[in-house]
Amino acid sequence: MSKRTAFWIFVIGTTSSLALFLFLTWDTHRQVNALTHADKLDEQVVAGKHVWEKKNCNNCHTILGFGVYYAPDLTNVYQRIGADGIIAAVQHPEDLYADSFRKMPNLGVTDQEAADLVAFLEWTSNI
Amino acid sequence: MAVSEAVITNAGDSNDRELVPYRSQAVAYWYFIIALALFVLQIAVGLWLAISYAFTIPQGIVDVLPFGMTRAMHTNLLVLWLLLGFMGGAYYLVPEESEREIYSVKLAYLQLLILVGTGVAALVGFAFGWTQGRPILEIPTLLDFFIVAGALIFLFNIGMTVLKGRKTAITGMLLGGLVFLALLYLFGMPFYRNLTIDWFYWWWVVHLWVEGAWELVTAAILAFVLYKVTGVRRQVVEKYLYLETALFLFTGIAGTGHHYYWLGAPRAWLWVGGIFSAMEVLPIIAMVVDTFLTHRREGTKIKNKVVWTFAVGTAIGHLIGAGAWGFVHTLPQINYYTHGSQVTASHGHVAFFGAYVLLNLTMFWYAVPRLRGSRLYSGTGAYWGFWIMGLSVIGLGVCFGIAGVLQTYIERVMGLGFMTAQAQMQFWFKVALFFGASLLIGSLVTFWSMFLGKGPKTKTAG
Repeated sequence: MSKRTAFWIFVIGTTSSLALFLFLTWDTHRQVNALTHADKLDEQVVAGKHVWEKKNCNNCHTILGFGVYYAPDLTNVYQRIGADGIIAAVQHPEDLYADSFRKMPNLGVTDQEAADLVAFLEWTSNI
Repeated sequence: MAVSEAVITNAGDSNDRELVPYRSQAVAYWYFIIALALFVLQIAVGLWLAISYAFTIPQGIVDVLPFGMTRAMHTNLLVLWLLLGFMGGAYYLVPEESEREIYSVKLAYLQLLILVGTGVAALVGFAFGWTQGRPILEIPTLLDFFIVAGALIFLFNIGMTVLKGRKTAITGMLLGGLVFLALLYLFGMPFYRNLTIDWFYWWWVVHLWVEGAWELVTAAILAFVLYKVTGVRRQVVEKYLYLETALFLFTGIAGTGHHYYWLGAPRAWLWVGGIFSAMEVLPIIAMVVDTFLTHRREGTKIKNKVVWTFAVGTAIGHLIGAGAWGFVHTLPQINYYTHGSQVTASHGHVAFFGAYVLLNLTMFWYAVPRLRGSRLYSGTGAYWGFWIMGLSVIGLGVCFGIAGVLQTYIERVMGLGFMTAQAQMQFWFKVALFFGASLLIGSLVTFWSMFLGKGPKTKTAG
């Protein structure tokens, strides 16, 4: 095989895989609103996502199976412990996990931020 | 100790321009030394993470030094130093390939200053809670613009050097990979309202980097080093460069789908991700076979045994860490149980080390002794570093692997709670801490012997 043939195998192989990938990306955008109940994705959910990022939650927890494995997956936490459970955990982790061998930091989450987080986690629990 | 010495001159070569043909290649030295120092720091931070898993940390310490913050430092240091290593590698090899000096040495230093400055600002920022909060892409948007500025200067500088000089398949592939790498970073910058879309494009950066753009850069750097140390003909090296990258991109681009199984994305990804990522091991096998066969077929003599050891280590590490370790949990039927567990951590450590850490060290060990003016240097430190680090990372992979299987079984199969699983796994993090400590020692040995050790020997090679 010549170098020229190898070059064309490279070009054709790459573009065909890229074409399939971009087609599926388009298809994902077409379906994602229905798959994620985007009609329920209101401003408070978005505010909750901002809190989620600001407090760096994802660097200990997983969500939708992604992130870090130091602490439990939170995709369905709303169904497991409910709004009150989430608020207690983020505002007073030192009390809740006093007897646990793994601790959660108190990140100074305000009442408003806790409420926003609940909205966000309620939304993710329905994906 | 003749066996461990590496001869780095071609027979009969005797002046320094034969070692480092272009003056501007010296820029690479600063990229390499900073990169390797950051590697040592990355491992030190990693030890703290292992301690956090293995023992109970008091609430008072957790509040000021949360796991998440230090974990962000660990991963960002990894990305920063590997990228600085790639950039140094590019600045070293492009002049030799293009047969001209780097377009602007001043820009190369300015770019280094911007990127390292931004990196330091980001790390200090994490400590004070300034973060974008998305794993690996935590760097705040403001600092992202500095990264983009640094990357643009780099691409301009390398691009101008390549375009004005001799054009080879190696520089073409390298430049292509670097442009691809920079473009993908842009997809990680915006705020996405929908978490599913957020993760979707997060993988455009993370997956398409490590299983796309970085593979191109790696293949180009490895082709350059193999061409130099094995004496195999350029035509042969470049032909395999095209074939391997063809396979890497064909399987790797659509293989991104293996991250979209449980994300809230359409089901078609299960098929495409499963099939294409199952094939992702093929280019790596090709790379290993090619590394050995080309050398044997051409019947050439290895000129630099240290670099050859690291190059073979890269090929095999790539195969074990990225290929085998990736393959075992890439099929949807298995990944349904294993995703989001320590199985991924095991794969991540072995794959990053096997593929990208060793690749960078291959290039460093080729270039740094030359940049320090060594005609003949003792490879003892290099070999010690190679084996201590290699065995430590295998140890880490085994510890995280066992922890991951325990976690998968207890949580996903038996349906018990997260903390129940963690209690069973804790022992393996204590063992991981031991391997982390030995990895730190290995990295210090490497740093010392590469940059500080005895210094260049002046004796000429026979």
